[in-house]
Amino acid sequence: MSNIKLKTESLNAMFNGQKAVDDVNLEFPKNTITALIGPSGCGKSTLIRTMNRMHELTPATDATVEGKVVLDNKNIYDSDVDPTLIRRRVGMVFQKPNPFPTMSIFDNVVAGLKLNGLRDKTKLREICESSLKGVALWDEVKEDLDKSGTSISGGQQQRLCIARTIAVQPEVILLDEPCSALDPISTSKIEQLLTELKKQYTIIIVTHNMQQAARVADTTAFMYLGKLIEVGKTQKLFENPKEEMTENYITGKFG
Amino acid sequence: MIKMKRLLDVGIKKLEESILEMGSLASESVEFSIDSYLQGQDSSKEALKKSKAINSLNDDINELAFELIARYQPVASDLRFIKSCFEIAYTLSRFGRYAYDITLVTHEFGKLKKCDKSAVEKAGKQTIKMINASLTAFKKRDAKANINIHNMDKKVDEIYKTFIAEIRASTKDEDIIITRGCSVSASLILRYVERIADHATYIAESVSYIKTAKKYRRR
Ligand SMILES: Nc1ncnc2c1ncn2[C@@H]1O[C@H](COP(=O)(O)OP(=O)(O)OP(=O)(O)O)[C@@H](O)[C@H]1O
Ligand SMILES: [Mg+2]
Repeated sequence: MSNIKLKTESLNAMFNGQKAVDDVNLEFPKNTITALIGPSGCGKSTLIRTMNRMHELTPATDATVEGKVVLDNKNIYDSDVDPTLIRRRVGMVFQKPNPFPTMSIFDNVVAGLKLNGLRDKTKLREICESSLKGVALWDEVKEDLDKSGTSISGGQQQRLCIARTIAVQPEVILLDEPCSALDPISTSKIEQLLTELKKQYTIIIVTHNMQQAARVADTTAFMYLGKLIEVGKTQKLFENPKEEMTENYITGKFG
Repeated sequence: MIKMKRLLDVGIKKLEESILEMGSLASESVEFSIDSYLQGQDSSKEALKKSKAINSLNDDINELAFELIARYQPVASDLRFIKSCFEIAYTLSRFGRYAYDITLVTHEFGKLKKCDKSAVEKAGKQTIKMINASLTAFKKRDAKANINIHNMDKKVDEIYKTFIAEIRASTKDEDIIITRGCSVSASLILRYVERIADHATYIAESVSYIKTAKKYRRR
């Protein structure tokens, strides 16, 4: 059995025919964290949005994909694949914590499960508790499950969003700059959480914080102008990158 | 891609200058000590002073290198540069100390007027050449100079080995060979052991620094 959970093959992503992701070949082994780094506009968000078929949902533009995203040996862009199912298997956490504002903390966590048709109250409670424990938020909110999802701090909201993502038991978790709106303590909690979560999931994180990539990622990939420039073991990439462009970017000689 | 001057570059420049300053002090003190031996002069006081000055530059370099790591979290070639600066500065501080050790020989044994000092003279010259070549390599970031310097080192090793072999060859008298062998070997080993003991103290001082932040001078 291959240990590659997800891979892209000659992947291109376009907005109105304009390439934002250019011929990217990347592999994501099971139970690892991969960080995507690169300057603003290089296509990091677009790349991860192709991995759960969210790219094609981009409003007000003709967003298309060429090439393959292979999840467990199956191209998720094959015509017989249901994109909703893919989005369930590949969860996404965004830059800004976005709990559903009209829902309680409890309902936020189980929203996906209810959508999938789960009605059993005891089961929902169980999963809510285990998901909140999974993101180390349970002790902080267990008395306030009925309060609004937006009544807690930004760092707690982000952990709530991660709990919402893991409640549906995805296989891959995509995170797009999940800590950029958080203070250092919340950030470090999320980082600890990610290293815990990788025992069960395959994680891909977009970050502008080099130190964050260095701290949490097993593998780091550097992108520039839609292209994958270099990918390698995180320690190696930060100590001795192969490509001059990577060196210039991570040392801040870029700009 | 435009290359901009980064804040880190100011610190890196300063580190480079300090290493070069330390390097010329260290090279000079080695030369001074060997000359003193050749001329039979006890220069141990001056050499100790030089060694202290070199150590103090080592401390400055350590401080600055730590500050750069804490402030800028350098990576890639920046991080490798800083790592090498720690090692180079430590090595240069050892040169200062060895130079002092050389002057202690005259201090303890006197002028040694009747000795043949030519082996030390030759090895000394070659070693100083090597120190200077390695500093030039640092300045130019010459990644290939190590090969040449490694070859220069072979000559110094050779001088040492030949010298030891000649102690045996210089006489047919077995008793003399044995006595010389005994005193030379014991002196060498005792000197190494004595240095190891000093360093064991340094370890204990480093441990103490972890708790108390009190800095100890290397001797
Ligand atoms: N909705 C859109 N319509 C048209 N072009 C878009 C759209 N979203 C992104 N792009 C373009 O696609 C390219 C890649 O953008 P993307 O958002 O993937 O970059 P990024 O690496 O995530 O940048 P950042 O670090 O700023 O988030 C950019 O040139 C951008 O202008
Ligand atoms: Mg983005």
